[in-house]
Amino acid sequence: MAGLAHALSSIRRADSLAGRSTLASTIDARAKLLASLWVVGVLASFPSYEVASLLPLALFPVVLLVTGEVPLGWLCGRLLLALPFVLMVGMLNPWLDPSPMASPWGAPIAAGWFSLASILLRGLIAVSSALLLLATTGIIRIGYAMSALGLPAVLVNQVLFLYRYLFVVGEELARTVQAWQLRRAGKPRHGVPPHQLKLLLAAVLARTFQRAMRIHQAMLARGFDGQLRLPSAPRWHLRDTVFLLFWIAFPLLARLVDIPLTLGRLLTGA
Amino acid sequence: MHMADALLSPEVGASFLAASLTALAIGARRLQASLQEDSQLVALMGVLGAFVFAAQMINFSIPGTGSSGHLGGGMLLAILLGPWAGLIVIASVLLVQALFFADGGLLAWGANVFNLGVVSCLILYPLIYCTLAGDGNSRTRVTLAAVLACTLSTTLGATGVALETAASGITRLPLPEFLTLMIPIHLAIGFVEGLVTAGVLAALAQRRGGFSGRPLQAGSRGIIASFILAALLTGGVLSWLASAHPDGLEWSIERLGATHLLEEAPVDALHRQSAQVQQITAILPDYELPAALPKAGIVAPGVSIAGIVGSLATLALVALVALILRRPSRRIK
Repeated sequence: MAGLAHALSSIRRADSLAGRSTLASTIDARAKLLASLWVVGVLASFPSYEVASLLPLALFPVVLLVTGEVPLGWLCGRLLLALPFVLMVGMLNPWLDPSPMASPWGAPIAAGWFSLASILLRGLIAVSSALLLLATTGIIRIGYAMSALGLPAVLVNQVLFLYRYLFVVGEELARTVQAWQLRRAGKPRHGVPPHQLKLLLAAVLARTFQRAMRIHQAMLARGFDGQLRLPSAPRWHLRDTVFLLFWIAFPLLARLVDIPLTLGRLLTGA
Repeated sequence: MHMADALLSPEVGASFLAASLTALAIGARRLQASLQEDSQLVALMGVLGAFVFAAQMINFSIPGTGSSGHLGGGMLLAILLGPWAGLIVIASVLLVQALFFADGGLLAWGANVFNLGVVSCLILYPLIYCTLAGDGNSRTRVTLAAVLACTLSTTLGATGVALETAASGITRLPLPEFLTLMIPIHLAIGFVEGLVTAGVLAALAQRRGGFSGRPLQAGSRGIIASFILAALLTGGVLSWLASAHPDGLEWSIERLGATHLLEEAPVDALHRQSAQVQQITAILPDYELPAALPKAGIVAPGVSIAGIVGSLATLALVALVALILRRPSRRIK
């Protein structure tokens, strides 16, 4: 229950961030969506031991964070929730992959430490990029961008529909589970017992069906004819082209040239 | 259990994205006709998506383990809405989760739709659930079908995560150990999800006077079989491309006429030792290198002073850009 209530409040928070007028929010959602996908794709293409050469790609989430005026605390809180699985899968790497790699202080380091650091850095950059895309754009505009980029209207409408009724259905389920907890006089240690959960879910599901029927009636009353329509795409500006081209070129440059190593050689004369 | 961007290679991510988008496009096309005939379906899909999203946040206890799990919801959606609508709804749930909670990620969305949507809605629903449940009027058959289909669905979804992680080669966790970690707990979670799903269907049937599972649309089995074949072919072709052709960096270097950099022998003792270790231990030589990379001259393996100084300088430059772009006049709470 706490998970559901917390999730709903997190969504409200992300919504309030996306609703503000900032430099990042003026960029077209299509440009931001494509740039985010490209950055994450290039990030995934680095060899598994790369750590330092991934660092330039951190510029993308940092730019979104700053130009979107997103609070760092919000991002860190979301990151802490999102990274445990990645950490769990990568944490054994130092023991599973002890192949020696060079270090500046002489003693070799197990290659697994590099791959673990690489996984964590990839996770940080990829997760931050997705979260900041949402926090600077909002789900509605992302939906319209998906539609403009050719994704099926049924899927886009479904995303927007789901989002619209998330709070209504979610809060109803949260209230139902809370009522069950209050009658039970104590929180369950390991979740709701299955035989009780099915009754709780069935009760809410039955009400969900009734709600769907009412929504359908309301849609018919407003002239719904079975055709799903989305608004036409907003105007594309020069700044969107510049943004997209920069974020295609920069990750490509970072992939082809080891920017930190080049900088380090320049600075140290090595 | 969501696949994560940080564990995916671009080949695996792109293959699954292509496979899932193909399935979604077919689903959307087939649903257009259904939506014209039954406009109620739009509203049902929307609110059921919200319901599954919320239900996934409620943990259930797994008897005898001291652990807990949550619904995947793919099978429940397929039973209530049909396979194509179920797939689209679960894809939308996964997209909202990827954006709001960074569960999975943007590149991994395709893999997650495949693991949690395609497997349950397009493979197990027609092959297991529909076969066992029959016309859906027998409570025993529906319960058996839901339990088996959900158990397989959750277990295959978790197996998918392990296989995709192994195929990507980012982590060194061996596949057998990863599967040993994943499968037992997901068998238990799937079994309980099956019981809950069957219980929900039974409770709904009591209220509505009969089970509400919609029959598989005519001709779907053929499409499903073609789709599975297409997915396998896509994965196979992309894997072949990944292994048989040079990657982008190698291709660029070849174009620049600097192939000697790729073939240059390891120059120092550590490199030679690493290369020997790699030759001995490599399972798929030249596809993924478990040992330190010997491509001297392109990426120096390990840490060097220049690398550390360069990394600090890069971070300083990123911070500088952030400071320049920052608007000090507006404080955000």
